[in-house]
Amino acid sequence: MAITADLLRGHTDTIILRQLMNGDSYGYSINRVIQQITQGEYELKEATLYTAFRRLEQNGFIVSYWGDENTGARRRYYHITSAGRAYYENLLSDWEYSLSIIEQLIR
Amino acid sequence: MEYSIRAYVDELFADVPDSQRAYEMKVELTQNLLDKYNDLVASGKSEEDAYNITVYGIGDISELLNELKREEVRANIGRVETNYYEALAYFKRRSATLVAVGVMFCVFSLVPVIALPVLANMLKIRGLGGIGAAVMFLFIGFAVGLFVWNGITKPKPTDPPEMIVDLYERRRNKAVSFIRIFDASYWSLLLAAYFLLSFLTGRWDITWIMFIAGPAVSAVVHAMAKNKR
Repeated sequence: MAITADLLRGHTDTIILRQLMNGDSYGYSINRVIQQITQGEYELKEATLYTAFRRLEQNGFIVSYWGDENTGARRRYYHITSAGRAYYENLLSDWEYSLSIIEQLIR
Repeated sequence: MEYSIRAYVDELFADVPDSQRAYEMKVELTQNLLDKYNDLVASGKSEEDAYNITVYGIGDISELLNELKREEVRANIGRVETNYYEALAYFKRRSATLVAVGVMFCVFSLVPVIALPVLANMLKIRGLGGIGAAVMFLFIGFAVGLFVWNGITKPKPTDPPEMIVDLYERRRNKAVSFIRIFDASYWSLLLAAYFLLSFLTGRWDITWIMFIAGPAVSAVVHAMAKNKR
């Protein structure tokens, strides 16, 4: 399913932002939810995930903070900004538009 | 196995510069991998399998690490560039001041040689001529000290810019405050003033009061300096 992976990789930002719309979260937690939703069919490589985090943060779409946890494990949480929400809406409508075009072309 | 994961991440980050960003990325990635590993073990995987899956799942992280490296280099260049000319100007000023003061002492060294015999003649005191020569050599010695010190502490054109900037920043951060100069010189100046005043006026019976007043004046100056800050 190499083609599927390629196609999905182009939507890493959308996938991450979609998860953050549900609330602040950290790297592994996001990845676990992605895995659960796809029933183990898809998960992000750490390299992809953290590259995306950096890019999104540099563009002001997300902000990060260190969580204070009692377990001793310090995790970096990400929070979607209003610019990030707008960006997500854009990405989503872009996708829906592309989808309709592709549907017309290949059906 | 947890140790193996930490060691693996250490290896990945081995040649990434120690920046805050790189450190945070490393902590974040390590925690992420440990979470994943522990989940895999909890779901029934063997430690060996869990480790392999976890490490394989990282993917190609080299681009991310290269970005961290480039970022650090850029930050360094930026810092050095903006401060380099400022640092050069500072050291040039400092060097000029040291040389100027040194030359001034050389010129003034002749004053006691000329003036003291005249003064001795007027006051009819013998033996002041020798003191004039001694003071001259003292002045010249001090001037030579300044020249040598300047020569040693002046940055050379061959010094790397990073070094000059570092020296400059270190100096700027511990700029000598007025109150430190005051504290260092206050009591010796007071003592000198006491003897000068006493010899000139001959009122040894009163001048000792300076030492009673001394601490009070010092306290007032300290309070004023604190207020200003």
